This record gives sequence, C-alpha cells and structure tokens, in this order.
Amino acid sequence: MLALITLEVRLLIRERMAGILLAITIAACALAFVNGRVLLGQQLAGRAASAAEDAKTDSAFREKLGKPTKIEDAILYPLRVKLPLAAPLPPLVDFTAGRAAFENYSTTITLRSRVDTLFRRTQLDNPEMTMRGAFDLGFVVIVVAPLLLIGLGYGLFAADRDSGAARLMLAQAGTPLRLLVVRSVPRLALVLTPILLTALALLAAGPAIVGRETAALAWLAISAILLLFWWSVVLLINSLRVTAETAALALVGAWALATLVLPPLIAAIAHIAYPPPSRFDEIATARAVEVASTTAYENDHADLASEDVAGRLASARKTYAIGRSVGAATAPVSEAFDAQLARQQRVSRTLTWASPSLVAAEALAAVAGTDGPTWLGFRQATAAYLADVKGRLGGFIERGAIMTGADYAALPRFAWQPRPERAGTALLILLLLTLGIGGIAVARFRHVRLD
Amino acid sequence: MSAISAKDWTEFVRDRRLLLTAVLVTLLGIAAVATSFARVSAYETDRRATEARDRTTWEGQGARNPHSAAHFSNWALRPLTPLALLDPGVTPYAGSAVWMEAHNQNPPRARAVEDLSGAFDLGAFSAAWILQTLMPLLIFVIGAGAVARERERGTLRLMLASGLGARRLVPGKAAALGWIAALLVVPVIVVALAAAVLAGPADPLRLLLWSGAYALFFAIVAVIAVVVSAASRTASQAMLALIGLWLIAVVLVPRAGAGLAAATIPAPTPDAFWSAMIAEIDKQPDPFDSETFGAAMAKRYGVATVEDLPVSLAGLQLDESERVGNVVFDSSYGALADTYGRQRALLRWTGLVSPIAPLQNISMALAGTDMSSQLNFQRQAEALRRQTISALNGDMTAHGKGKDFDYQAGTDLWKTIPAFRYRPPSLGAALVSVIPDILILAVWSGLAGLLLAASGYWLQRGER
Repeated sequence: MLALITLEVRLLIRERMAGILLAITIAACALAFVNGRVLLGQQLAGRAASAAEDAKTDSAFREKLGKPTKIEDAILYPLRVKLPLAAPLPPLVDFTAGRAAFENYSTTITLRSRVDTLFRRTQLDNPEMTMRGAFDLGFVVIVVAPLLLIGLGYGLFAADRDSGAARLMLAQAGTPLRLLVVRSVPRLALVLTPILLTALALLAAGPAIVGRETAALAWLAISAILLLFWWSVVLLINSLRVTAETAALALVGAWALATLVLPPLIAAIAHIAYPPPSRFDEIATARAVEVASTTAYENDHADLASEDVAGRLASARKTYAIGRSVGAATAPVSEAFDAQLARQQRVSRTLTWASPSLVAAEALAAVAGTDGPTWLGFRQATAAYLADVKGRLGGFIERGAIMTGADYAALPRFAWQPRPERAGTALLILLLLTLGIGGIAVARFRHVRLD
Repeated sequence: MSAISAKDWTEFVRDRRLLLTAVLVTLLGIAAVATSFARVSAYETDRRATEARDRTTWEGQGARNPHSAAHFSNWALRPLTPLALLDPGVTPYAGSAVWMEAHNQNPPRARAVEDLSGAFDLGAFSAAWILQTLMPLLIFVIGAGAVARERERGTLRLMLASGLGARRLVPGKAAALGWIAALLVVPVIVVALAAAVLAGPADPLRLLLWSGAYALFFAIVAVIAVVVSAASRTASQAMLALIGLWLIAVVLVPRAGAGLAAATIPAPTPDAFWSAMIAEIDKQPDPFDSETFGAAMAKRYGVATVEDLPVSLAGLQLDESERVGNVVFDSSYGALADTYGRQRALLRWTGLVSPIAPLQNISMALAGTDMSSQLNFQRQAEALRRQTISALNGDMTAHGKGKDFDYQAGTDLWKTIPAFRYRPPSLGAALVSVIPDILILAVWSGLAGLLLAASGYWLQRGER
C-alpha cells in the first residue's frame, strides 16, 4: 500500500494541475495567516487602548475623590463616573473573524448610558473593505479548500473510466478500496497540510489565552471533517457511471449550492420570516419618551444649571429620572429586538442543516468565539451590568449622598466570560454525513462494473 | 458565424444539465430581486414614518431652553434610492442614522449587518450578487466546452477544414456564448430594472449605464471562457481552469485586496479615534473658563464689561465652543476619510488582476450605494447639524440676556429648524468618482479583444 501511495504521490507531483492547486492553497493560507494576525493585532490593540483608558479614567477619578472638594461639585460625582469595558478577546479571532470584523466590543458605562445607545460609537473600519469580506483561515476551509479538493478529485476514477484505463488501475491496486485509499491520501494531504501548518503557526504566534489550544483542536476537527465530507462527495460522484466532465459539473454545482447559494438564501429567508424590528422606531420611541418625561427639559450641563447644592442635586435627580423613564420605555423595544434576533437565529440554525458548509462555518465561528450568539450574550451581559451600575449610582443621587473613594472602589467591574463552545452537534452531523456518503461510495466501488 | 451560434445554442438546449442549472440561476436572480424590492420598500416606509413621527416630537417638545433642545436635536436618516435594490453596496455595512446633537459629530449608526443572525457572510442576496458571483461561474461552465469539446470529439479539424478558419471560429464561439449569456442575464436585469422603477423615480440614464456596465463585463467573461476553452485539450480541463480563474478573480482577489488595503492602511480603533479627538478639543481654549473670551466679546460689542453685553454671554460661549469643536471634527473625520480614500486607491489595483473590482465600484456608484454616496450623506448630515446648533445657540444669544439657561424658546423656533433632506450625488459626480474603474474595465475589454484575436491565431497554428 505504501509503495502505491508513493507512486501516486510521484504521479501527482508531475501533474501541472496539482502543482497549481498546491500553489493556490499555500497562497490562500499565507494570506489567511497575515489577515488573521492583523485582525488579532487590531483586536488586542483596541482592548489595550480600552484598558489604558479605563486605568487612566480610574486613576484620575480616584485622585479626584481623594482630594477635598466643594460639596457643590462632589454632589455630581455619580454623573462623572465612567466605566469603560470590553468583551474578552475571542479565543480564535485570528482563525475565523466571523462577526468580530464589524461588531463593537467595547463601550463606556455612565449614568447617562442607555441600552439602545451603548454601542453608538461604532467600529470605524471602512465599510467598503468590510463589504468585501474577511479572508481568514475559516474562509479557506469553507470556500477554497473544497473547490481545490474537487479540482484534484473530479476525475479520480471517472477519468480512468473515460480513457478505458479503469481495469488497469484496479488490477494495479488490487481492490477498488485500495485504489481509493491510494488516490485519496496524497490528495487530502495536499490540501489539509497547508491548512494544518497555518493553524499551528497562528496558534504559536498568538496570545496565551485560556482555552485557546482546546478551541483550536475543536476548530481543526471541524475543518478536517468538513473536508472529508467533501471528499466523500467526490468519491460518491466518481462511483457513478458518469464522465469526468459530468463529475466536475456535478461537484462544482454541489459546492456552489452548499457554499455560495444556500447561506445568503437562508439568511434572506430568516430575515423575511422574522424581520428585525426597526432601529429607527427604537430611536423615535426613545426620543418621544424623553420629551414626554419632562415639561421643562433638563439641562445637560448640571454644573451650569445652578451654583448651589440643592439646584445641582435637583438637576442630577431630573437627569436620572428621565434616564429611567427612557430606559423603561425603550426596554420593551430593545427586548423585542433581541427576542426577534433570537427567533431569527433559531430559524437560521434550523435551516442551516441544509448546507454542510454553513453548519461548519457556524461551528467554526462558535468555537472561535466570533458567532452571533456570543455577541448577543455580550450585549445582554452589558445591558445587565449597565442596569446594576445605574442602580448603584442612582442610589447616591436619590439619597443626596456624597460618593467617596470607598464607594467608587465598591462599584462592580464588568467580568463576563462567554460559554465555551465545542460545537459537538455540528461535528456529529458532519461526521454522520461523511460516513453515510462515504459508506455509499465505498459500497458502490466494491461492486464497480466496467462494462 | 450565425451557423456556429445556432449549433452551439442547440447543443446548450439539449444539454439538460446546463439548461437546468441556467434556469435555476436565473430564477434565483429573480428571487433576489424580489427580496431586495421587499427590503428596500419596507426600509423606505419605515424611514418616512420615523421622520414624520420624530418631526412631530421635535415640534411638539414645548417651551425649552434652546441649548437643551440642541442636545436633544434631530436625526438624519439616510434614504435608499430605488437603484439600491439593484446593488445594496456598502449600505448594510455603513450606518444609516446620524444623531445631529450639540458638541459631537457622531458616526452613523444602525448598520444592517449587525442585525444578521449568522457569522458567515458572503454578501447580501441581491441582483448584483447574482450577476457578480453566480452568473460568471455559470457562463464559464457553459463556455468551457465551446472549443475544447469540438477538439475532444474530433469535429474541430473538420470545422477548420471546411474553410471556416480559426480566426472566425473563435469569435463565432464567443458570440454564441455571448448570446447564451444574454439570454440568461437579461431576464434578471429586466426584472431588476422593472423593480427599481416600481420602487420609485429612477433615472433611466443610470439604469441604462448600470445595465451597460454589466453587459460589458459579461462580454469580457464570455471571451475569457472561449479563449481558455480554445487553449484546453479537454472540456473538463477547460472547466477546471475556468473555475479556478473564477475562484481567483471573483472570490479571492476582492477579499485579498480588501484585506491588504485594511492591513497596510489601517483605520484607527474607535478608542484611539475618540481619545485623540477629545484630547485635541481639551487643548483648545475653553470659552467657559476664559476671561479672555468675555473680554473679546465685550470688545466686539463695544461695551466695557460682559455684564453690559446686549446679548447672552452663555449663548456666545456655546457658539464658540461649537466652532472650536467643529475645527477638530473636520480634522479628525477628514483624516479618516483620507484613510478610506487611500484604502480604496490601493484596492483599485486589484482591478488589474480581476475585472470584478471595477465592475463592483461602477455598479455601486450608479446605484448610489458606494462609499462616496455614504460620505456625502454624512457630510450633509453634519452640515445640517452645524446649521441647526448655530440657529439654536443664536436664538439663545439674541434673546437670552439675563436669563441664559433659564431662557426658553417655543414651537415657533423649533419649526424654523429644517428637517434633513438628503440630496444624492448627481450622475456626473457618480461617474467622475469611478473614472479609474471605467478605464480599467475598458482596458479589460481591449485585452479581451486581443486575446480573442490571438486565440484564433494560436488555434490555427495548433491544429495544423
């Protein structure tokens, strides 16, 4: 068997097509590595900047609290508190960018913050670049590698059948199964090896995050199973009595359907079935409530509103009360939004099973920590933290109490961790599909007829 | 050549695999147009209703201090033109709502992409996506056997021996494939144009130019397909080569180019951007803290002390604060727009490797959904913001003497503040923004013509 595999490798090396496909694989993996590193660098830099801002703000505020201050200024301390926060770095953001390319991962909590405006200062990446999509290792696995496997395997047996050399090949290999193994191993290795090496390089060059190695293992397992799935489809098509050209057409058609057509179609269906509530309506509702909450609109510069404690405290209480009214009025809208998004995600997840490529893509993003549910979890955790902080800061205003350094130190800090995702169901489904299709292909090859 | 076209058409119709695939892709294109029409119509209905509701809120806010109203302010909501259903462009990835409040130039919010349920994004399901992504693949698959299959069957030599000549055969095959491509693409484009006209007033010249750009693109695609087919020994070899070309040109190059542009010319992180802006504003003299400002105003109004000013000092201070902030905003956002421009210029170089990038830019520009249109929207929103805040502060200045923040204005003032009305760029401006892309596409057309001529020559020599 080993001798046959070696012979097959030599023949493959001589094939121009194999060389071109290997070059494309290596180039794609190299580009994915560079882009992954750049995105990781940006995410780390952004979080470092957020942490630095947090430290600077924290230090400045503690210093202010430590100094003797006029009571007219001290009464406004709860309004001055700023608590920057950032989502933890996704463990494999350099492997699969997912939603990390455009989601906000940091914000600042103040007493004036609202759930619907928490992430109003959006990412500043060029929409024209974001629109073109991320070129990461996940993209190589989902989109590029299967097509390369099809290029290597469309004529695996069909070409021999077309040329009349099938009997000779079978005789040389001994059994059809041996022939399949001999031809499959080098081709799979040609595509899988660059991906594996790139993943290892990203892992080695990346930060030491808890759970990153485990996540990478799961990521590689999903990638390998997906590519084995596509290879099982290649074997199945080759087991049919079709020409190489028909095999190529069928395989490319299957790939285009699963990878290109079904994902946006499923997204469109989910969007139509559960259209997200209007963001514009959310804005208009909040504004209408804000206006209705007061007949004499509150001045936003509490320190300019009055010089005395009573005046400033009244101004701060007004600001807090308006914020609570607006929050109460917009909470149902924001909750409806999140609920509708969750329903959309459920529909998407149900329909996702129609496309193995989409199953794998969502699983890779889940394991990488860059999928939709993770970001939804972050937003929900941020909303809960906001409510907690506002409650505590608002308490000072309602009581008319002066905030001290100890009170500030006792404020909770944002400490949310996403639930680690192993994507076991996706792995199982892909494995079952692969074994099923591969099993049918092997069974057909065992009883291959060449007449 | 018409005989070649007729023969190829007959073969295409008899090949059920190709016919079925072609019909399915065309139906998919029509479905994409239908979903885009529903999306754009719903968006516009929502936007108009929100604008009307918010205007009522603004005018009905009652008596308030003008500067407080300046903090409350208004929102600019970006309308989608009817052509946006042809090509959504950057609009799902760029915000469509700008809060025009005092003291801040806010970035746009409400990006549709944030409301997507999944993490795998290959583009918005639209007519442009079908025409840019799937149709070229289909044309390549159909065209792969144009010449290569004749060679496989042995009929190529017969055709050449009949006196046809390779230099007429190859263009004939390209024309035949062009006709087949037209029959697949035209229904999608016609339905898309009809939907755009139904969605609202659509400039017929823009629609014509948009269709023309795609017609030119598909002509280039058809020629490439035939040239590769003529150079391949078998149809399956040609198909794989063409699919490889499609993968590189349509899928990989645009993404690789965008990644390279973003990596070599990075946009600032939000934290860095806002921190730098705040730091720059903090460096400027604060009119609220400065006695110098009061003295300058007293001198301007020809009075001895600020108490003698005939207007509200607080109003003047607010206006000065806005002016100082606006200078910083212009600098910061200007630098950001400059970064975007340099990224775009770098991305344009990918047009030398793939005609899809210039086509995308032309398509978006004509649909009014490109980055230039987005920045135009943001600039108009900012201009209205400054006009609004200036008017509100000006009213407080003129009428708030002695009362400052206790001064209250009413509905009469709120009604004088204009609502946001977006003026899309003219067709001329849109075309000027994509002149390089038009030139690149023209170069591709010329190159396709040369390849076609050369292919005929090589085929003639190869078959001797």
